[in-house]
Amino acid sequence: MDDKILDAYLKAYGRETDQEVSFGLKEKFLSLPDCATQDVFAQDHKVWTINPYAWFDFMMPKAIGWTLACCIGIYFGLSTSDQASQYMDEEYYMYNAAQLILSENLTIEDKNND
Amino acid sequence: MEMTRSDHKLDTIADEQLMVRIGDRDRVAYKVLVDRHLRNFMAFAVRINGDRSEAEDIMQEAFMRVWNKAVEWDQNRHTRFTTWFYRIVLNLSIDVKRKKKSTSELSEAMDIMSNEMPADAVLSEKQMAFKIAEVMMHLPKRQRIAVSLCYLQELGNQEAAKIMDITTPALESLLVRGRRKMAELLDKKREEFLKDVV
Repeated sequence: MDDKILDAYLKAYGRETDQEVSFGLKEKFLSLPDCATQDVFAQDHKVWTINPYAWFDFMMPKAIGWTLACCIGIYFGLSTSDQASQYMDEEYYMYNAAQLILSENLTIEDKNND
Repeated sequence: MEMTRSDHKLDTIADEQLMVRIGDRDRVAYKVLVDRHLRNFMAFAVRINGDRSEAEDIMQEAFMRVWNKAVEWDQNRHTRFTTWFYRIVLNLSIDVKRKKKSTSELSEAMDIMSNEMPADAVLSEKQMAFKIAEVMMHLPKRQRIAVSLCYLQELGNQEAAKIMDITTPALESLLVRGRRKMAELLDKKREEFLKDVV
């Protein structure tokens, strides 16, 4: 085959494969940084060293979240603290457990016809 | 993501400097880099893999690496961004090819299309592209990469050799063998087709 014809084939192939990328696909590529979660802390640490205001932007939502989590923990912790098991409850539970163990033993005995 | 007037200045900045900015988590710099290179590298991935959807996956992974590795980008190494990025796309393509045993869907589609071609008719550009795409997929991997880089991506021999991590004479040898093989395959296809018609 002549070199010129081969070049014409290659040029046609080059044009055919060099297509405009769709808007949707481009958007997908542009949103990739949102998906990148690797080394978040390492990267953000670098941001702090360059721009001190970035530290504030980075830390504030996290600090608010942690504070809220602590407050909710303390609130629920306090409200349920007086519901701890009491002496009478434990006794009742032990009585029930003993009954259950005894009934299991009886069943086994019945099965073996001893 | 909207660009302000000052952000438009980024359009004139070199890729390597954009990488430094991306390392500082600058999304506008990332956008400029994607706008600048997506089309060209997507075409390259399609040429190497023969399948557009596969190429899209590869490019997604490649740009993810740009974002993640930009933090480690060192301007003092004097590495060109395009050389580095070509290597990434190439390595990802090779990995995908390794995993994939069967021939690509595109080349199967090419078989059907090429059988429908008229004998002596002047081939349309699309038909020519389909024919050469099929031939490209039958080339040995290294020859295909060399042909894609030099004839389709229009890179210089030295840069292509650098991307492939081989010497320039070795690349030139690959190109000569690649062209010869492509010409042989195209002739063979034409003869087979003429036989079928007669």
